[in-house]
Amino acid sequence: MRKTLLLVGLLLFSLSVAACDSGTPADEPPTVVSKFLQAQKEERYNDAYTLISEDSRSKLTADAFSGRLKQARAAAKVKDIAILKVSSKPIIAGSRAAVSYSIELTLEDGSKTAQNETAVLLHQANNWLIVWPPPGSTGQ
Amino acid sequence: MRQRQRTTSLGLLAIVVACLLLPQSSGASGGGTDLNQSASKSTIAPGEKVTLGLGERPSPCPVRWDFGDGTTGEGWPVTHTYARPGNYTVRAAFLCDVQATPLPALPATIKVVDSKAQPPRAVIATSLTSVVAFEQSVRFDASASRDSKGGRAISRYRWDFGDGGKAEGVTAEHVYKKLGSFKATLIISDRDTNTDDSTSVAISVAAPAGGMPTASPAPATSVPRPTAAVRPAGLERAPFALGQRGIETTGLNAPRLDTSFSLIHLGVWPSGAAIPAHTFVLLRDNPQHVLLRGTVSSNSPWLKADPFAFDTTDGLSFSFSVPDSKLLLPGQTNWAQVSININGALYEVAVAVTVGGLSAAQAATVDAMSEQVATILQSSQKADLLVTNDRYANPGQFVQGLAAHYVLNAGYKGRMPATTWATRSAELVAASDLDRDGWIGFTAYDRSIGALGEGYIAR
Repeated sequence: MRKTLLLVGLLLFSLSVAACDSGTPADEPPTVVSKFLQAQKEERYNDAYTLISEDSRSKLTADAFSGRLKQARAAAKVKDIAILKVSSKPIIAGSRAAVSYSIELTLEDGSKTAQNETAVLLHQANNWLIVWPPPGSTGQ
Repeated sequence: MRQRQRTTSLGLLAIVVACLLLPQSSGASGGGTDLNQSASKSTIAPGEKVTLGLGERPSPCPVRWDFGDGTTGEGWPVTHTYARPGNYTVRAAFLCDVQATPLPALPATIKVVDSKAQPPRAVIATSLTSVVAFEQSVRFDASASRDSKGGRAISRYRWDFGDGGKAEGVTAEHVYKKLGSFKATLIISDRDTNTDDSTSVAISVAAPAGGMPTASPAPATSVPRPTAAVRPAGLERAPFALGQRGIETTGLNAPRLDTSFSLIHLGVWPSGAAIPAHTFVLLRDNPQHVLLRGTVSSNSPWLKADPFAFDTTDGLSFSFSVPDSKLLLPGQTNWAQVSININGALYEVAVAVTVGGLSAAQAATVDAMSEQVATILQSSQKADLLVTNDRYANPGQFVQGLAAHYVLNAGYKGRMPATTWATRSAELVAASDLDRDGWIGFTAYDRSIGALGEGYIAR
């Protein structure tokens, strides 16, 4: 009986170790972009910070990132952000990916304007992470 | 009798001398005949005939040819065809009976090019964005490059990182140990066509958020100590602060520059609106009259930084302006990166301006049009160029801007079918004549009816 209990215990321990090892699967690029936009919409900038690439994070701290985005939102007089669409068809080239999305900004004066943008992501440490600030579309 | 023997001996001697001298005397410099001058063509297609040995025969002796492709021939002149593309070195030997020794001639080079084959295409993917931190390892990946047949028959990958470092291989790791801007270049060599292609990415090496390591103790000075200043080794310490003191910005949208990275948003503007100049002052004052030298540069054509260069002992200010708002793409946030170098310290400022004008319904149309461009590129196996390419850092967003411009301009939209717009835009991204009309991108006529986007003759 004691031997059986010992075996069951060992089995459970092995299963739990295996479960820990496998971890959670990394999000696909469209999911990462959706989470990033949602975090910006809800002004959860510290959450957004965890979704930007390693080198983007090396340039500024989470607090500095948060401060910059708050400042930019105030300068642009953005009251609200509606996520209209995040493409479910990313284009992947090696360790880079592009995901197009559209959002609608509601400004402080009540006017609305829609935008079409493309997020660029890098595959780093088994995760897709967003390049921030985004590369300019009219120059290198 | 003696006279006749002497005459015969002199005649034989003359023939020997002539055989020894003739091949050399009629040739080019370098002591031999230049066979390039005797070839009918220097560049031919596979299967096309080339004639070698045209012009005056340099020697009465028999000629033996080595065509460089593993075959030989004899005669003057002689014709030959090559089955495969490549550069072939052709050698000839003049075999004189008297001397019985081959006399060398300068070899000819025959280039065999398959004009129907697409050129190889070099593509760089990096593990990081174009701005990397000092002493951070950067991984370069050329695995998305393609040979002339769209495959991976590439014989050589060569990397030049722009800072003196070089490497070979499909992938390469490099650590930049200098601050500044560098151009990392990849050169690939196609195995079948023996042609090269190259591409480059711009790399800016900036200081990490915590600042650079200090090599020597700070000099005694009353000027506030830098808190996040960049001090590359070997350059004199920048004796001013970029911390909580000493830096202030003024004007519209005035953020503080308190680290080596900052962000300025110039606001949301209607499409086509003139955007007023925005000024910010980088140094509030310079009471110690420290000599400040450096440059300010913007990576985008729509943003002008003034002054471009400075050399002053006074306070320092910069003006950023958008001289021509037509250079901005509508229906999106346009981003520019500005690099400010002060006494060797590098600061990066991201400048953003949002151009509005689209309704939600129009945004859906823009999305559909952009997907059409992606479909065209996918059918040409060039969809990866929508992620990054030599010409556009964010080609996907560039296409969205072209689409938004099309949607917002009724006159232009009425004169150009959406399918034509999509093909022209796909050609710009691919830098390729996809519809084989001899032109890449938008024509002069297209621009006259309102098209945004350049165009040029296909090679």
